[in-house]
Amino acid sequence: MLESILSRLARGGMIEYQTLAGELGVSQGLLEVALRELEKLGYVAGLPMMAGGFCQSCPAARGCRQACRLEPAAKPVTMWVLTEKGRRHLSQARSSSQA
Amino acid sequence: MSCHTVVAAPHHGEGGDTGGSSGPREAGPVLRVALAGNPNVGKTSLFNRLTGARQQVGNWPGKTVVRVEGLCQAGDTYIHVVDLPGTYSLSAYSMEEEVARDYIVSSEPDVVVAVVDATNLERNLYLVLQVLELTPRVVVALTMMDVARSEKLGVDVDLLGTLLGVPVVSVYPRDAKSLDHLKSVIVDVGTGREATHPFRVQYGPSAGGPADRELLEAQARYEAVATIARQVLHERPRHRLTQALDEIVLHRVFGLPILAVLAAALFFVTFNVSAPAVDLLNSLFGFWGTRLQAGVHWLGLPAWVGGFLANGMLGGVGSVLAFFPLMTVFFFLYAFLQDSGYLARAAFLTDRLLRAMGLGGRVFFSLLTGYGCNVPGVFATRIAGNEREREAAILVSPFVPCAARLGVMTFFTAAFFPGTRGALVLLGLLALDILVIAAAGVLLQRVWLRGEPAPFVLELPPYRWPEWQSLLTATWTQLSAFLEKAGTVIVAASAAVWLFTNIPYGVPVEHTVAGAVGRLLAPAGAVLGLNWQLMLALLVGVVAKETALSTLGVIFHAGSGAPLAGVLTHVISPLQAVTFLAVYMVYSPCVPTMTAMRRELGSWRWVVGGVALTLGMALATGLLVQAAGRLAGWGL
Repeated sequence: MLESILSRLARGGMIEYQTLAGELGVSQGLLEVALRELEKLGYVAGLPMMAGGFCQSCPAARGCRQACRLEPAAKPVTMWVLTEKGRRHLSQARSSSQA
Repeated sequence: MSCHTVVAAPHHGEGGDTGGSSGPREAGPVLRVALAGNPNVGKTSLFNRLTGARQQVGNWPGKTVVRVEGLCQAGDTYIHVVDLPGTYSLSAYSMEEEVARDYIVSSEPDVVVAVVDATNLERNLYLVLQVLELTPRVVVALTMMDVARSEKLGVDVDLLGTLLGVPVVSVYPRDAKSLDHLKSVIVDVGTGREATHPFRVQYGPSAGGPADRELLEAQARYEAVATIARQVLHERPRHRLTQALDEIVLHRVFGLPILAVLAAALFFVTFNVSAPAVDLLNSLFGFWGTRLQAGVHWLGLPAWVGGFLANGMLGGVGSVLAFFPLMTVFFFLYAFLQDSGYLARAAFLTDRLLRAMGLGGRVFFSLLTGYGCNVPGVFATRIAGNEREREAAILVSPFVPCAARLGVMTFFTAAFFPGTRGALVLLGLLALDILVIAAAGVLLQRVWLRGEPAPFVLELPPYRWPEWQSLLTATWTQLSAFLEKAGTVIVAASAAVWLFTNIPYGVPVEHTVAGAVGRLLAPAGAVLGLNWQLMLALLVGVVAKETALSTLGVIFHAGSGAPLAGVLTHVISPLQAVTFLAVYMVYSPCVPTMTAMRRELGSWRWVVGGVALTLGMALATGLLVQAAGRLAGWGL
């Protein structure tokens, strides 16, 4: 399942939880926790959507009070992307399967 | 088998264990039980019901994680309960996971009760399988069964117990009988009266290093979870409202038109609701400007003081502050769309549009993160991806209209095209911006990038009716930032512009320093049909985007009676206004964004290249709009 998530991410395009969970044949809840696990292992990165979500990690945050106030009031929506480690893992898996 | 609370014993030994399985505290033996579970599964509620209000609260040794423990009784057996921190797994990547894992491994509790939310069984089972790997003495306490039933989610509790090889008990924390049942099962498992045969995940051999082994193990656990879940769960229908609405708003054909209609409605309501208040503020600033000048004259102060206060301060800052009501309505509606869950869908639809244009996700990523403020948009490109992708994403970031630019554009549009026309003009400009982003992205991808597009998985939250407090907080957050900027950067920029439009003092503005700079910009302006005042506003706007408006306020003496919107409509034609907005939307990043770009790209040469790209695109966009306007019969 984790490998399938990584492969799906590598295929490109945006896909929302419900559709991806359906493709994998698992619940949305399990998909969410799997993505979190992959994040902990360093294969994917979870990013809060909208500018406000990035303000905490922005080096200019201290001096720029405006940007940091743009944090959305609602729970930020998360986007997941492959990390370099995730890409490396997939390319290694691909080359070992070809060999 | 009633439970009564006994004050927890003090800590003993490593890990803070209390008592021991063989050491009778009062009448009977003491079983040490750990409660493990995901966050928000009702674990604490269960703990409170088991142990009552009298609990001992402290910290785990050497950690800042709170440790709560208590005691209850089942017959003559005492059960000492330790509430482990809520975790999704025991991978020991966080302090909470480390604490939970260490306690189970080192302290060897007599029983681990894995608290599982029946409505999120799959999510919870991952932790259960990890607990089963550490100890065979496990009882699964299934909470929220009533909620699961109400959501028409069926869970085969008996089969789950058989598959996991440990007792599974449905628990209702408010129901004393179910708690008694749980305690008796805990005692049975803890004393060995009930044998368990815990499920073991089968791990295949790992060819990679330790990191890959971790992935392989997690993968095997997830496969096992999915297999168990498929057998014990009777699927629940998805949230009906969300599903029904998504079928409409994410429709392949209707999705984008619906987005366009909603955006147009947002601007339309913004213009019409705020128009009277904007007019009133404009008139007030004009009125007070005149009074201020009269007061300065009456006090016998030099005329330039009155000019500075009225034209420099009230004219500049007032021009920006006048669209405070407009921004209030806009940000309120924007927060409404965001909190209702629609904005995430809008992002999804926009990505679809950009992909149809042949663009990768990374460009889309910049688009999303740059709304609000381009600076974090630039920093957000630090995510995975190769250097070239990142460089391209940074260069595309400034094309995203930030909140400040949107505010100025809204003001301008409302001034020249009141009502429905304004909403359509603004919508058209934003659609044009997407085309510009697409063009810039395609250009960069062709010339600079040949990598794969960045992929995404996007969480689409269920629709909900936003709470008033949340909407007001979000609106105020934006407005307070706007006011703060008005009181600092815009005041300084207005003062500077006033100074340059008054050196030498007393001559027509065309012969001042500002006029001289304007004349330098005039040839570029002539190509676009823009006068030197508009070109100067664009130049000053590089400092901070709102200062473009305050500059016009100073130049056109908006503080001397006539409101800026009224003056502008007399000295600028509608086609010039739209051309100006098209250029303003795309041209040069502001100074803070340039600094961020320099920091991320490592060289000013890159920044100059990025600025040149935006200027080139701005010129092309302006010419396109001008040509389209002329075709439509508008004159400069």
